[in-house]
Amino acid sequence: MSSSNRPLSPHLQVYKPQLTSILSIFHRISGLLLALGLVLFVYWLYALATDVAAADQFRGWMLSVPGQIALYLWLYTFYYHFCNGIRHLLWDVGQGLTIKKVYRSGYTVLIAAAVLTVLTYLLV
Amino acid sequence: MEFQTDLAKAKNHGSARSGFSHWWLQRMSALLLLPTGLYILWQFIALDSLAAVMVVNWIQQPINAGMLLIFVLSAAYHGALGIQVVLEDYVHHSGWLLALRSLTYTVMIALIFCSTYAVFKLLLG
Repeated sequence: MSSSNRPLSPHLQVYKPQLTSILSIFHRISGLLLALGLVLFVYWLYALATDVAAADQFRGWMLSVPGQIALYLWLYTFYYHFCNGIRHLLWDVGQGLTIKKVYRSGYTVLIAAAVLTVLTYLLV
Repeated sequence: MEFQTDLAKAKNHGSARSGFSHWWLQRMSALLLLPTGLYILWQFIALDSLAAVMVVNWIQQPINAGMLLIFVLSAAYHGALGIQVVLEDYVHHSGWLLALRSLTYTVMIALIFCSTYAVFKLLLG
């Protein structure tokens, strides 16, 4: 069976975006962004152990205005992936699988991630 | 890793081969990331600043070094497992898929090596 030209599900061109599908793809996108962030985090860790000046230079970049914007957007993806990950783990044990509960937990996750990000900004 | 019962095997239920272990380890690494991630974030917020001197001092406490290492190692593994799923979903050319998947796991090994080296160097001097 040749499969190269067969249509792939889900058919995004006729698929109506919903909270559930948006949060699902955002879980993936945030995961990819976190993986990129991890590379930078390990660079910083390695610099701390081998070249302290490079670590402080990296901190300087993060404290600049574009650095802070990137850092807090990244922090939002961290909190989002964190909260939505808990949502996924609860689904895995069979909790909260009705449509109503899935929507409620979806909004909760979005708001919780925003609140945690703002809280972090205020605490630092 | 195999979690199929003998009965399920005899009844030929599903084709769970290495897929189950991927699914399971993704969740186990997630469970390690929740407390360690929160701990590190909370500790970093509590530090006066993230200047190198401060953070080096912080890592030299064994409990912090341990939490940091568990966090980074699970994050690298969890990330590689996740990227593998994304690649397998969206990259349909088997050559590219093989190349990108290999690259992902190569980067993961490099991250594991660099972070382990860094933490132990700071911890043991």
